[in-house]
Amino acid sequence: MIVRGIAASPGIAIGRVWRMESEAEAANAPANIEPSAVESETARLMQAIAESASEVAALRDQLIAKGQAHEAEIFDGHLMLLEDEELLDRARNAINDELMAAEAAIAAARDEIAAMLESLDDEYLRERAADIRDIGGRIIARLTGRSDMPPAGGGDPVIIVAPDLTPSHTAQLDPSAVAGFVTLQGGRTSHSAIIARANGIPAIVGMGDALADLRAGEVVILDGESGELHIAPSEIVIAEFAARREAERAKREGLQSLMGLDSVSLDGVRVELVANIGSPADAVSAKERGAEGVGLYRTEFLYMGRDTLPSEDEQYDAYVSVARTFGPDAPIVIRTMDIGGDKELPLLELPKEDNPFLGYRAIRISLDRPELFKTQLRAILRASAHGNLKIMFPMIATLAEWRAAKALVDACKEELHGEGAAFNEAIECGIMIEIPAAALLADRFAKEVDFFSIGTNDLTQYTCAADRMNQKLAALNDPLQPAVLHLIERVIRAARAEGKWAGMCGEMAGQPHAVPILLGLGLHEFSMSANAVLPARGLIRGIDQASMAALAAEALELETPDAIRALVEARVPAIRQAY
Amino acid sequence: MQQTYTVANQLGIHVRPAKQIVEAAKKYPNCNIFVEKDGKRNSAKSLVNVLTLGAKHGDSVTLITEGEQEAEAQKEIGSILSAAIDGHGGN
Repeated sequence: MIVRGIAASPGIAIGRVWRMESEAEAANAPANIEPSAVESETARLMQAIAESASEVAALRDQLIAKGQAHEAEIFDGHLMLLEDEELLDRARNAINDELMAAEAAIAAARDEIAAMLESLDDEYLRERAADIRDIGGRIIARLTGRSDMPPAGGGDPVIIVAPDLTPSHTAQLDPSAVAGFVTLQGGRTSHSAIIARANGIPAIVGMGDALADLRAGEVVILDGESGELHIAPSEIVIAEFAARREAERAKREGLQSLMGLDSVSLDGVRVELVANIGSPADAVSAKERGAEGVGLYRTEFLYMGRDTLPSEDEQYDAYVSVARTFGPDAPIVIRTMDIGGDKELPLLELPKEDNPFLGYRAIRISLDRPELFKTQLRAILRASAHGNLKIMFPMIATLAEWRAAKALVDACKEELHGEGAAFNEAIECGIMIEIPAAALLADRFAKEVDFFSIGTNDLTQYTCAADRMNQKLAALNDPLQPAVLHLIERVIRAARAEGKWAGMCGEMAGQPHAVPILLGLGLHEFSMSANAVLPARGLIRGIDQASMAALAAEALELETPDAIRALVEARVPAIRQAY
Repeated sequence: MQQTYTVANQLGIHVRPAKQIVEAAKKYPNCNIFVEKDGKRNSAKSLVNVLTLGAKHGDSVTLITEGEQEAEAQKEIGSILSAAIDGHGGN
């Protein structure tokens, strides 16, 4: 039988079920005490809290040492809650006035506070109830001296099945004892899911009631990629998944060894491998997958699926959050909103168009609605005080559009100066090259902009006049079409002639056949889906830029995408292993 | 002494500003500090209490300080309550 949940952390795990019952913890402890025991019971509670605090502090420090500052922040919050006077007062009063045992007292205080948080009409604060439950459970485990985790070194690793796992549980999972976990509640962005991904523990969350009959000790297969749990699988299925697990492990270990390494070619040319993201949550998972920063932050997602426009502060918070995820020096390229085309925004009541990709979209709307645009520019500028943010304008066709957009940036800087707000005066401003008109005049743009980022998805569809939504035109929508490649070469050359950098944020930037050519053409920044970052790094570290320059020159002479691919395969056999 | 502030943070008194309020309040051990909204009065020295006030953007929150250095406490915590953005230092 196969049961589906939400895929939370990729990987395959095979093992026996180990059921964790969250409320089993306090069940066997005595509920009440004698009046004479109040003092010693309170002391016992305080001792358990102090021990829990040092446990949490150690856990936090471990995460920091592993470079997981974001995950560590969760436990910083727990430390503050552990010394919270409201929690302590309630627990101490329960011991003192109601003669409760320490376990029962802390459980009651925890449940009361969690209920208070859960009654708030703010989803984020409601979720903090899970943090209170987490630390309550930790204190109880200290008091009872029992751990609710499977023991390490006790035979084959198990698969934990639990109503929910707290961040504490997840961070303490010992890979030698736990092969993976399945929870009945929770979503992909829950803290436990994030920590599981960061630690490479396969997980499925949100299984619901489907597992009520699953017995401890049964063999299951957990596929964290598809979100499927195989219950009582046959020997054949087990063998099949075991083989897949081995293959994935070998590949992952190869890729994992590339985490934190420079993206540098054999002859010492260093490039930036960054990610395309649509939200602060994407930034977190991109960093987990080895991205060095962000080459394309699609800010239009801030505007979509809602009834009101995002305020300046709301946008600021999102941008700062991404900058914090990557740290102060990592490049974060924020593309101003690219509404229109295939991304509709009911809020702006834009008229329906016959050719939306050739229509009123992106910078064309922004320049037409400066009040809307300036809100975003001010938010980006203010956020630039907290990281290496860069501004990128989409769909630029003419120099006049670029200059008008840049003038609005300058106007916003003036305003912020007047308000005494902090921002990076020298923030880089660049344009996306996705319209052939801009690619053809790249040498003139290069004198004024700080950078180019080539958007190959649109550049290809505009150059070949082939709708990228039309499956019948897939062969034309190939960025290795020689005409597109020539435009790309022209743009990179123009940037380099003016000492500016050129990047690419289309899908091409992460494609195995394209990476060697782009490196050869002198591309500096490759922005791609986060999953492609480590494979691309492995590839680049195994080739040299000078030979790729020669390869690119030959590729430019060829007549079809297939011929170009064959050339790359012949010269760079490593592209088959890298991906 | 007491003064009423309008919460300027777009997200309301969220975890980060609430932490800042609690950290600031704890610097005044001999001063009783409360935040009050809609007649609900909570200690400003407890994260749980500050959070469960449930103060949102635009809400009026009264800050009550009684004891040693009450004016200093009023000034320091009042500035957090009325700040439009979290007063975070760098990254």
